[in-house]
Amino acid sequence: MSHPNSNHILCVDDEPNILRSLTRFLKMSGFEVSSANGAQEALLLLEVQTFDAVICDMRMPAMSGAELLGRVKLEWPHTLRFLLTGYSDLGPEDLSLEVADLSGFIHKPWDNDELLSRLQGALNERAWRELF
Amino acid sequence: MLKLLPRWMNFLSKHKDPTLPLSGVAVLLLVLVWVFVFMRAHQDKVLIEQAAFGNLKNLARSFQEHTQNTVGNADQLLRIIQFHYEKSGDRDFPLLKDYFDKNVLDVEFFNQTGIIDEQGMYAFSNLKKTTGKVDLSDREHFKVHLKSYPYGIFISKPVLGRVSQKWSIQVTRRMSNPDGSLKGVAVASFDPNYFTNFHKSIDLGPQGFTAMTSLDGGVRTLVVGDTSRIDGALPALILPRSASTEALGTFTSSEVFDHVKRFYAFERIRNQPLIVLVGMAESDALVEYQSHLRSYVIFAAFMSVFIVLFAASSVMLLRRFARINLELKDAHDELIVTHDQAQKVTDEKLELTQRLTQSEKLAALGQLSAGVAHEINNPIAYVASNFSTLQKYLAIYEQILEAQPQSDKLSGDALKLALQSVQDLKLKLQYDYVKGDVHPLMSETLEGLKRVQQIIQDLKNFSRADALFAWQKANINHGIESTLNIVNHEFKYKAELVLELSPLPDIECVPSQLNQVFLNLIVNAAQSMTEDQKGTLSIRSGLSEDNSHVWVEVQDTGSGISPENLSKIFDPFYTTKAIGQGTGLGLSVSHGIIQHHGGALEVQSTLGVGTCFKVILPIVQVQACPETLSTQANVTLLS
Repeated sequence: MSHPNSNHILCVDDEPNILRSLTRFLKMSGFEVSSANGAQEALLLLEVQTFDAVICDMRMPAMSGAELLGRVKLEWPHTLRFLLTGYSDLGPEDLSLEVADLSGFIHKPWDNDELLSRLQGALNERAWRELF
Repeated sequence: MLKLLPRWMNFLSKHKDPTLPLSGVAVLLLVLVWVFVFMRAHQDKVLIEQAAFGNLKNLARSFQEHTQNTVGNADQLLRIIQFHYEKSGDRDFPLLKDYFDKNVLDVEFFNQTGIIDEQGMYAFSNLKKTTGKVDLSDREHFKVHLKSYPYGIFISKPVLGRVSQKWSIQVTRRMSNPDGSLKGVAVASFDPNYFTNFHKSIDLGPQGFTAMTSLDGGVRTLVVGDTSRIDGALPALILPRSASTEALGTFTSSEVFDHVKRFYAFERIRNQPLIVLVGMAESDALVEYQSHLRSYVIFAAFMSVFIVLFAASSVMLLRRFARINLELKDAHDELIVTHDQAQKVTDEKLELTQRLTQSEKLAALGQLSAGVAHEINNPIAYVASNFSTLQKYLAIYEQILEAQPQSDKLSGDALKLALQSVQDLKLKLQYDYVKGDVHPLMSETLEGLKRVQQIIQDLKNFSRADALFAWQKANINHGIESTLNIVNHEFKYKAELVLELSPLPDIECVPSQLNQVFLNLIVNAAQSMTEDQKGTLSIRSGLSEDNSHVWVEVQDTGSGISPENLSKIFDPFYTTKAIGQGTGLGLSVSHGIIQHHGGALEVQSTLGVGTCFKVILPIVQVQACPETLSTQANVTLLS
């Protein structure tokens, strides 16, 4: 079940059904996927594994997605950061997002193909940057 | 009179100076009073004059009779003397002497009785002492008889008797010879006082007047007031023409004797060129009139004073009335203006309140739609994603199905090989994962759809769009649950929800309105808490001890409300939220709704600790009047 150049993605959301839908879709798109139901769990996984990208929900208890991605940017700047935003969540003007230095916003409900192309695009861009 | 009053008022208010007509009326009244008084006085005067004239005429008649009788007596005496003298011509007149001596002839009235001979010499006198010859030929009472005198006897002016040495009026009669020539003149001398005494016996006033005159005014006797004027040299009286032509009559003159205006009555003495004249001074005659006139004038004066005072006080009153009226009118106008302004302000306030109530509804709607969108967002997101994945799963299934070798055509190694390639395909397509995941995918998707369905149902329960203002029996626990589902996102990351709903009976209410109250309370509670410090949102419901009311408590562990603000939270437009965040009507509207339900909305709060709102609602409505709900809620707001 190995996948050529398979990238490892971490999905973080407090809503399990979201996590599951993201996981199965990314898995079917050839990614290796891990999931965490909150910032706490995500940080634990990040400590022990290397992820190519983190897709994280904005609204979560205890620590918001923006905060978590800010931490990721600080500690694992190599990891790409995507923020999932809901209906009334803050847009890119939120100051806390500057720290997170996002690769992109993903609005709920998202389109699988579009998400995939953006994720793939970001990964390719990063690969090219590392190449040169 | 009462009917006229409003017209009068109307009249008054139309005229700039309402006192003008009143003054006119007063002047008219004054004129009327005086005209009446003077007419009345004039009437009195005429009547008194008539009475005076009547009186004078009667007196003139009496005087005339008196004179007539006196003259008649004298004539009787003179006729006897004439008879004897014409018959005998005796110079010594023995018979006459005898008559007098023996008092056959009464000569009481007369100063002297005698005979004047044809020469004018006094020939005989009844008086004893005769001093020589007395010539009377120059006397008028002799001279008139030289020719035939038409009236028989002549009555002279008062003359000083040459024999009697007394003023006397001579009454004379001609005596003739048989041939008709003058034989002598019989004389009877009257004391004029005999006539004037008549005057004294009657009352003609202080300036009374009696006189006997010839037709041309020659005075025989004259009495004015208390004074008898026995004087032959008196000037002739000035009489009107009627006095010499009429048998009797009256006139008024101030020319007759002494320039005193008098009423006069005269009457002719029968068979004599003489008249008697009785006069009364106008001032004396009109004494009564004068007193009447005085009374009238006093009356009129009093009336005038009264009218003037009445008019003046009325004018003052009217002016005051007009002034008050004007002030009242001004005040009334001002009041109308004020009322209009107040009405305008009230209207504006009402309009503003309605607009803000509307915006409160819109805000609530925004909150609702945000809640709904938020709640729907996640399920839709994973349902859509799963569906997209499911499409891939289907494609995998199709590929594998198509790769499946047909066992009836293949056998042995070929079949084995074909099966192997299918196995490889399955591995490549992650068939095992797909096969294991398709059922969870389906059930999760279904769960998402159910979640959406539930939210739509909650929204429906919340708003009761089918019966927004209808009174119905409903369980408020359901309303609380629906509301919680809709505004879940408001507190989801801020607070732990503690829901302690006791079983409740259905209550008579307008559910959508109560849900609006719960929404307000829950959103307020959520907004008082922050994500940094996760609090507790406790929602409890219960039944009162007497089973007549239900209650709902919404308690937060938020910032709390200071005591000075606590009294203002139900005021319309009172808000501590930033501009654009809240209308300030949420609690005010909620309060109105609860009041309309006959319930109560209580609040307890401690700054920094939290707030607890308690809604108490009756189970049975005393007056359910659904159509007035919205207006009543507004009225509550305004009050």
